[in-house]
Amino acid sequence: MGKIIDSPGGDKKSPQFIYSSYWIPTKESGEKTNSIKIESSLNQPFEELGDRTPFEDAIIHKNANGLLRLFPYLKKTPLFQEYRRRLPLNGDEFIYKSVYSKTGGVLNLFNPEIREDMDEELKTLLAKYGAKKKAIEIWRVTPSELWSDPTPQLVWAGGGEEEMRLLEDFLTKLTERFDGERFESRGEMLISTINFLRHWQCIPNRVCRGKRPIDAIRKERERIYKRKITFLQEMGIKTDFA
Amino acid sequence: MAKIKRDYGITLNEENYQAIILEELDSPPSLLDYFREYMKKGEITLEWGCLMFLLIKADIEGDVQTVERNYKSLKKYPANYFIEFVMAELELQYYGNIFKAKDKLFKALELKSDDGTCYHNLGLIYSLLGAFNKALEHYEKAILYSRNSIEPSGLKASSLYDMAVIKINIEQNYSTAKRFLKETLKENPDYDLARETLRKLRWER
Repeated sequence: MGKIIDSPGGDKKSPQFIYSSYWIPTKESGEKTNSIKIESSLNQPFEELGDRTPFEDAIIHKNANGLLRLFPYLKKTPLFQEYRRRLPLNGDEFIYKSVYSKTGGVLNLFNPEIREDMDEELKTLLAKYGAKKKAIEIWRVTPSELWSDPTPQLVWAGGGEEEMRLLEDFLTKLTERFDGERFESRGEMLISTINFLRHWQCIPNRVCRGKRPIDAIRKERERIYKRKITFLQEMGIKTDFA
Repeated sequence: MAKIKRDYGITLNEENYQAIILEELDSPPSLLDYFREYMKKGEITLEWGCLMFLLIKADIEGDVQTVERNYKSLKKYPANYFIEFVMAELELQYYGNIFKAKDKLFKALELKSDDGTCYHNLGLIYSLLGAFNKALEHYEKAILYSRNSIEPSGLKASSLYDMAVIKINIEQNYSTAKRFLKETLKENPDYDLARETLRKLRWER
């Protein structure tokens, strides 16, 4: 059980470093919390980047300089490599396999790392259609149990500002509920926290203007997906996700 | 064998080990039938009997290391539903490895496809995974095969209750949820949580 999270701020007007402290059940989910925040921040448009997102800026300039302009203090921190790794600085980002490097966001906070060999849906479709292109076309829009039901293309798109705020809301409530709680086993701890997450995702939340987090997260990811695909088309970049 | 004699006061031998395993399982008829068929194939030995005995005891006592050690040793014998089921429980409840638990439960169902408890546990796993439609499918199968469990009525009641929770939280389908809750109480009138949930839903349509 860890409690400390260092996270980059998501305020597009004044990027800053936010320090927060939460109860998080495992080291892996603590690390994932950071990765989710990083993933989401790369999808947010910033004035300093001409209203482009760091994701788009990295594709246009083929480097991470835009990100460093936004967060100059990052360069000297270990987080910079994690940011860099998540920027689309090579073609790997655009092939279907890249989905397995994504976090899946707050809905998947407690899930383990997902590997292609765990993807039974894809295996079944590949066996059924033979043609990889056809199989991937169906797979990318099929809700997946590997990522708590969102489709692979929404997992690939990543979250945005609203999901970041929802993550903070969830972590606050998680901490209020479980900080100081004792568990008999890691399994009991994870089952309790996942059940708490599944309950939270269905309760209307003022953070997303009274919508259920699950619906708000999907909606925002759909917007991000459309923006990414439109941008890639403008740039003449092909992807398995379109 | 010495450990079994020392710790449990039982002497396992070629003549009695199969009967003792059936006794120790303390299970519904369908599982005992499965074991009888399994043992009839003649690919097991007294060593298998000792390992299985210790695994059953370790499972009851919550001795994780012994369960894992005996599970590994039993892998050299033909695949067995029960040991996969026990390991699935351990992966889920002790380690919280949801995907590993799911794989083991599917393996268990490949070996014995009519096990209501297995389907119920898959329902729980799919709920944890946020794949609620799949959870509902598996709870329905748990009800269908509940007669093969130790407590058919208990399994039916908890599956119905879990389905009602999904109907409330995910689908906001309160009328179906109420129906499931009433059926839960028919199976188990002492299911307080179901009664309380039904009371809370009384104004919902």
